[in-house]
Amino acid sequence: MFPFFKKKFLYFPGCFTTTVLPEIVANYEKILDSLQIPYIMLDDLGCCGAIAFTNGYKQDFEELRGKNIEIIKDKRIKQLVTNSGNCMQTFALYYGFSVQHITQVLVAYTNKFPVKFEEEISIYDSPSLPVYEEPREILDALGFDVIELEKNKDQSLLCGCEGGMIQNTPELAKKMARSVFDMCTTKKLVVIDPLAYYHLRNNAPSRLEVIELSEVLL
Amino acid sequence: MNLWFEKLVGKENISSDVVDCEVYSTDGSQIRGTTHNVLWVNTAQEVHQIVLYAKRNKMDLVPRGAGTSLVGGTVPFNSLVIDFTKMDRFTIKDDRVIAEPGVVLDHLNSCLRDKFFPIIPENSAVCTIGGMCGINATGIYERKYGRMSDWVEDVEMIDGTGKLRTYGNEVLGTEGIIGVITKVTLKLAEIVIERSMDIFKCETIEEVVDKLAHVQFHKHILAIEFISLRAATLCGLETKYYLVLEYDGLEGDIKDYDEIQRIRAIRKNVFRRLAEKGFVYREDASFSLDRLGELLSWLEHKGIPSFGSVGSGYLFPCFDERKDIREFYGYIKEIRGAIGKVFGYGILKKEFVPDELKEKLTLMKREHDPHEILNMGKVI
Amino acid sequence: MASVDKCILCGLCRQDSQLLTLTGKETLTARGKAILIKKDVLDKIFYIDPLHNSTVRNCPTNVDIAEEVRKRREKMVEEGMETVANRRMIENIRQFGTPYGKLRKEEITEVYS
Repeated sequence: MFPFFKKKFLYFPGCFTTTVLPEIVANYEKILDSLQIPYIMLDDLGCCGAIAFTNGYKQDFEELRGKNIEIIKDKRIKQLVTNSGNCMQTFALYYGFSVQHITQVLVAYTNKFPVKFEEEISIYDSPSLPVYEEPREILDALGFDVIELEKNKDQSLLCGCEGGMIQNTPELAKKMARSVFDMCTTKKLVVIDPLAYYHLRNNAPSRLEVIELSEVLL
Repeated sequence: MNLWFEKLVGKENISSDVVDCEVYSTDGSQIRGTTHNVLWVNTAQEVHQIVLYAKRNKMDLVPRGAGTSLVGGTVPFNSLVIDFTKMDRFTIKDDRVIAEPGVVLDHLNSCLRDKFFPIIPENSAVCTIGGMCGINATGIYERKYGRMSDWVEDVEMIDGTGKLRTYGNEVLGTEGIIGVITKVTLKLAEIVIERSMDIFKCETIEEVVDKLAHVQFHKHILAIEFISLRAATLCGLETKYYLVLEYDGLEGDIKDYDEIQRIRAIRKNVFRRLAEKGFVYREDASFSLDRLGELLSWLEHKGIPSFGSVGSGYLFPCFDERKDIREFYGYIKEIRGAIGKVFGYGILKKEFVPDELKEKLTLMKREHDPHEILNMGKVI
Repeated sequence: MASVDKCILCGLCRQDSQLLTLTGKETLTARGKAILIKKDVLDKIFYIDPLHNSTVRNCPTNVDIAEEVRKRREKMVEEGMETVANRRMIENIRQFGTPYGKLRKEEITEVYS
């Protein structure tokens, strides 16, 4: 049937996606279920602590990390999968777990995605989420013609949602978002990282539709 | 004072905040000065008003572009710092560009199609046209294209008396001590379509000198770059002396575009590789070619890595400790070499200003800045 | 990667500084932050930072400016100098385990990064 995943992984959307974009979480649950990919989710896991860490609350981060590691180890979870670039980096660098982005799971199933689009699309590579090939493979499988932004992949521009700027310097964060839009010549821009998606969607000009990947997968 | 400036440039373009003053008190030389006010200017009219204000109130002004001067050219001494970063507009008219002083060189060249601006210093990704005029900049292609003064048609400048006038290229190299530049007309060169390179890996300094003498007068050479044995070793290259020749034609053995780009990247990264190993203090030595062998031997003997445009008579030795530089200066004087022809004189290299230039600048200073409100303590 | 002690103030970080492009202000570049950290300054300027090392792509001494600014924020927290928005965020994390507390999507007026 589906030889790709025999063991369940922990799908951890991250507190931002869970609270602010629950529809995105619901999308991915639907997608994983329809592909019969085994996973679990844990309600008792708290924030991974990334934003506590980056904003200087080291002790709070260490407490969150300690609690989360206990829960994850207790459930004998070996593999984590997430949407969020911040969560991904935190789990990999500071928790020491094996973690993948959700596109790195879904890319193995591109033959299951119907070719249902025939249009140009651009993709924004969030600097906090260095996963480039898998989202492009998925978009390609869906029939999109991916038009690269002038600065993409590891040369991508920051969008303003990084480093606490979204709450501490909102006007500057908006201007940074505009720098991303200025590069975009297509009508649609797909964003993989949920925080970047939220920020860009909220500041997009009317000529541009900002989409989260799951919206075109369903 | 602040209220007056606020009205002129807008509240967001003036600061006496501690953080701004700290940052603008220094530059690429790491010398610390002091400033209590930083202004960001957008137009020549604003600059003009600021100069007139400074003249009335006997204030020192320091114009600043990227602040990458290695000689303290933009360090303030209780001065008002004027940051030209926002004056970065330019218009292209056939084979001329009219540029504001804050235009970044690489950005300008990236916007040009069949032509380019051929004076390309090491830090072209950040250096500004205004700063390049200030030191009469040179670049790796000096052999063919000369210096900034060869490519500047005219300069709009406000001098220390407050007069706004258009000058020729005679004001280049005055390091901001006689006037503040507000606009520059640049001449453009034709893009070189066919390029090629040769790399010579030499075992000895004698081989380098011989090779250089042999190729020196080849008419199609754009650049002759050198990497010393010590520098090559530190950069992870083969332990040899390197001469890299670039031609504006197909004379060289290396004609593949990607390979040429790869070699250029290696050459451009030499200082970065040396800096990673702690050799962060760069000097600019000029010499006559008959003394090159001696100079290279002295540097190798001392373990000082160097690289540079030997085809134009420049070498950039890199030091890991400032205290060793004095000895180097002594040696340069011994071989009748010069310091400062590439990086300028600023504060750090005042002792090396040639007498003739000192005389010329003193006269210009008397004429254009008799009240001494421009870039105090620099050059003369 | 290196600490700000290794910053030689060359200014090459200016080419990748989006904050410089948007504001024209040297203070917001990696070099600007490095100068301030070297002087042991504590200021809200450290919250005007994306905390990303793309801004030091071309740094010849590989200064880890993101980590250096993050450590400065730790000091700011110790001195009680954090931003008001960050204080709200951390209060929620301490009380509820997440920055959004018990709020539902439609109740959220502020997001955090």
